[in-house]
Amino acid sequence: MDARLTEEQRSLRETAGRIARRSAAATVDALGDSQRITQLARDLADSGLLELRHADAGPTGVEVAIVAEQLAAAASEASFVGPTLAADLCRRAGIETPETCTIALTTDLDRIAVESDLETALAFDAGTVTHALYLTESGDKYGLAVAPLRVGNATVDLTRPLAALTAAETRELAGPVLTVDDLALWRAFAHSVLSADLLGSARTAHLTTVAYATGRTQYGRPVASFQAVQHLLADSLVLLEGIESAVSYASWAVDAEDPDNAIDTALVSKLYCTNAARTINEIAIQVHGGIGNTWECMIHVYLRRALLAGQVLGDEGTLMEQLVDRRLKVA
Amino acid sequence: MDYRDDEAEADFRNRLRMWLETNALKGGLSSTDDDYWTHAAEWHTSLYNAGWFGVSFPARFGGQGLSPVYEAIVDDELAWAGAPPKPSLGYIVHGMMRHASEEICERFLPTMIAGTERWCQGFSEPEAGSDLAGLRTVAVLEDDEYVVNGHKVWTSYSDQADWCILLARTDSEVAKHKGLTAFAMSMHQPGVTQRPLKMINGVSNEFGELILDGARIPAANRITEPGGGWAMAMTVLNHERSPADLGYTARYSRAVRELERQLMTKPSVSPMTRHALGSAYVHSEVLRMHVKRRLSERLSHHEPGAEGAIDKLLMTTTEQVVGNAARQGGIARAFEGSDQSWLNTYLYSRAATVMGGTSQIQKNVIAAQILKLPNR
Repeated sequence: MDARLTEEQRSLRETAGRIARRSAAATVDALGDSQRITQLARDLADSGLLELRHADAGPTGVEVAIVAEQLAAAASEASFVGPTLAADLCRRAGIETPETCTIALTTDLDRIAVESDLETALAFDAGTVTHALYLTESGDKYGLAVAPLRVGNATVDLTRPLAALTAAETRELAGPVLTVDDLALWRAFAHSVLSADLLGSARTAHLTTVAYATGRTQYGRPVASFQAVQHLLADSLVLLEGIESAVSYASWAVDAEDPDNAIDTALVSKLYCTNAARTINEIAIQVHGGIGNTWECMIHVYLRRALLAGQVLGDEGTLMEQLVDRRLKVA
Repeated sequence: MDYRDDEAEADFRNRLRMWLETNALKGGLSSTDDDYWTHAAEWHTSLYNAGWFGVSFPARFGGQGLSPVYEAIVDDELAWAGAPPKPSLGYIVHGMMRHASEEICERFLPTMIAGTERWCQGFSEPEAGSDLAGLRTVAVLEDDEYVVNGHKVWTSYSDQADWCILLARTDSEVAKHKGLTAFAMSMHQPGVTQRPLKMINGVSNEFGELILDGARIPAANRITEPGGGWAMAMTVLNHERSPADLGYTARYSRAVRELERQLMTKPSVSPMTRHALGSAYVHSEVLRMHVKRRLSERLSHHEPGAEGAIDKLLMTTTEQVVGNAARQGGIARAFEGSDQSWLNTYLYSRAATVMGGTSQIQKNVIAAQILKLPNR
């Protein structure tokens, strides 16, 4: 056992971080600049980072998590998680990944859309893609199809728009080859990637807040010198370390553990990260004080990103029910 | 990055698993009742004799010199087998190895690790809790013996210990944390009186207090240089705060599994209890993952430092989330008188955020030493 990143993984982390930071929005007002977003999407495509989960890529759960974390840390607005989840589903179906494609979810974001959901389905992470993948049902198996996207709207998450689909122009990609078990493992992979996304946004919220509290002066001294504030920041760091351990293990487990363990681990990770990342963001707002509650302060951008990640493919209540059902079945 | 066992690790795990099939002390041995503490010595000896205790300690002291990740294998397998956790000795062993002379290590570590001589830790005092450096127990050198007077409290395992790793003041002229020295004090002498302390869960075997009235320690049993006690105490506490050294992940996983088994037999489980159980599983699993990451960091010869405070907070949160699940899922049986164990697990969990340094002290350590926040 060795949980440390390899040299290649550390180098990937640096590369992804550099690409993400180069096109990061420094202020809330700067979000949505299409020139910057297009540049980032092109950089991601050119560097091969969008192909980490293609058919011949091997076990890359850890690599995907590394990139997802770095992009989230820079509040990246180019599609990455969506296309990577789409690619993984295509890989499980044994087909090539179509160009610039994300996944379609039901309106409550609880699960991947099937044909009958198309009218109301929402494409997740639709910033720089043109199509969304959904399931076609046939008996107890599933095939894959894509539909083009209508223009996306950034709603809750200001960095990752959701888009409606054009149900009239669908195209079938694969016949009924995916089993319920395939989809369960795909969801486990998705939870591990979303956990990494939560790690990235929470880390930046934490670091930004430590820097703010050190620079902000009240009563003639930095607010970070007050024990009450220090304890909030310490709580934040402890949660961040827990998230990091969960992401590290879960991102490895999706490719390496047996299916039952991989699914349990992914649920554990997503549940822990969703709750802990939200708490870190809430602490960040509190420590920023009044300014933390204004639109211009970047913290709510990270919070909003975390809220969406926590909702995709099952909110905490849904996932907790799934986990407890599984545990009480095997105990 | 690969959490998988390599060939040697897999072999070790398989052999341990087979041994546990016939040797795990299954049944009601919860570490939160007196029965556990009565059997703790027996469990230590059988683990050690079979080669499952002290696996990452140096071979010259009776360990096996294996990499720290083997400790995680032991914890995992003990938990899966429903066996009690390994003895929590790592912190004293690491403290001695880092700060004591080779002679002291050779004299004391082999029997400590083998479990043939049992140890307790005399740090805290009635007037020195969080402010440990303010301790008042004094050791005065008379000829070739130190004479010790003072009062120690929260002294775990003191009723069964043969030796105490004692922190005492040897110089009152210098700054308070510079005048401390660590000793190996024999518990079997007239100057040492041990009294049990009964805790809120009714356990009286774990904690105790020591009245030291003219206790004597040969000068050769001084563990650190005079004034070197504080540095050793910090090493001991950094390890004592580490779930990797305590082996507690096994305890939490085991409690969660027992609770799961019990709830399975009930016709219905309330949504709140289900949620509490799920949270307990989530936290105990994340702690297990965290320990694996930390033990891997030690492969880079990274000595545990202030991050022990982070680990302790993750651990004690887990302990209390598990305790809360035990409360919601199991204390009804304590009221009707059939089973106290879940009530005891809950009550015991409240001590987690006090012992080994309170959570508030851990946060001070994180603020000052890790986040390096300004203090004025």
